Amino acid sequence: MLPILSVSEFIEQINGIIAGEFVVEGEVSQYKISQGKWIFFDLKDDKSVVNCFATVFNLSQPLEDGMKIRVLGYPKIHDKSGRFSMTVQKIELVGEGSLKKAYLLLKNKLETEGLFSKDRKRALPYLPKRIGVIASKESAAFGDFVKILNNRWKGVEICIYSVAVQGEQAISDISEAFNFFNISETGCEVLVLIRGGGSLEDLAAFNSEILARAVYGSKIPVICGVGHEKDESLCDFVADMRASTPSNAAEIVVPDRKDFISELDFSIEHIYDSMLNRIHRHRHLVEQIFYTIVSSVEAPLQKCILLLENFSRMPMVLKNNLLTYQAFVLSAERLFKSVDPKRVLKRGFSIVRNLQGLIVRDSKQLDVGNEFMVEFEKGNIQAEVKPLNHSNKNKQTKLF
Amino acid sequence: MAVDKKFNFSKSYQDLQKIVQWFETEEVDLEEGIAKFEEGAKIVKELKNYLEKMENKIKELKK
Repeated sequence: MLPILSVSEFIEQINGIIAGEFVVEGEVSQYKISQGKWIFFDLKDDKSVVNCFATVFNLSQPLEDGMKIRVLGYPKIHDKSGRFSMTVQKIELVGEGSLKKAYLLLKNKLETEGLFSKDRKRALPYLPKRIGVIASKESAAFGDFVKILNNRWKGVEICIYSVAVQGEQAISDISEAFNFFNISETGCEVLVLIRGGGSLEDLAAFNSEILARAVYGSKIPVICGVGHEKDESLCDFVADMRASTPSNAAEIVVPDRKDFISELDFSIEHIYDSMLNRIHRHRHLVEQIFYTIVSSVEAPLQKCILLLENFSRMPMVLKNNLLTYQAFVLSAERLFKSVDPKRVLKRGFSIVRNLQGLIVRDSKQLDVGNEFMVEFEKGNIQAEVKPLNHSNKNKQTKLF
Repeated sequence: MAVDKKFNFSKSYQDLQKIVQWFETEEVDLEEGIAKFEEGAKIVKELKNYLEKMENKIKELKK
């Protein structure tokens, strides 16, 4: 005969019978959060449905109706409501679709919270001497990073903190690494979180809220280079700088030596040109000043020179004038000489004057018996007019 | 030329940037300019030497 149980006893016994952990896979529906702490949803398949209960603390990512999940939990009939439900301890997403949805949900949540805000992105140090790397030491990602870094730059110390980059371990390892770099005095000026490519499931750790917050909370600026070019992770969005690949992270963290050296050359050339330019300008200035001085002095100087030249020409002018005067005097003398009546006397002419000394130009001025004077080239005589006989008169006429 | 252990790459580079900037902004005094130019040339030489001589080091941090 069956024992008679109280309701409480019955529920207690049943709970005892069904006690144990189960993993159940199904689709989420009727998902809701109560008071920000309690989560209720149904897990269903084509034929059946089971209620599930969880707290926000053991749910690593937000859920949404229609997501396919795997639930680890234990079944329980609740005393007060008599409802049967699974108390969920852990949830795992199943399939790309669910992962994608969960990813988008978390992304949206973190974005709303401001974790991706551009305003909080810090500038990366230029030419860091020490770089902290969070990666798997053995991974191709780390190998690529080091290779590219070596090709590009010299004199850097790489501090590698090796971590698992996949699965649950990855989340705790990487969180610890961030913690380590932030509390230890490693002197690393920048942190680089890198991992090679993989499926969304492989990269799940980098899409976890815990790591997104670890990156967000780092005091040291973070470069995140996870997966291939096309991959994006939540850590990428939170990081101060997103690198498309681990190699790209190396390209971001240090400049290329060749570029740097040409930049150096350019700098020195620039300084040189600038210097030269200034020298030219100064020279031009000096020339200008010189020109100004010269031109202000030149005009009076020219005047002075002209004056001096004129002055030096003075004796010549005087001499010329003197010669002109001499010539004039000589020709005047010649002229005077040619008109000198004495020269006529030399040629045999004589001058006849009356006693008053006036020259007699006409024989009618003198009468017979008048005395007169005759001047010869040499000497004078006084004579008397005699009557003229005809024979002499004719001779005279013939003469002129 | 060996790399001086005390040589601080970033600081030297910053000094060089300052010199370049000085040339861009100041109305240069020629004598001072020549001194700065010589200093710049020296820094460039040191930076190049550093990049030629130094190697990258990898240090594994213990957990």
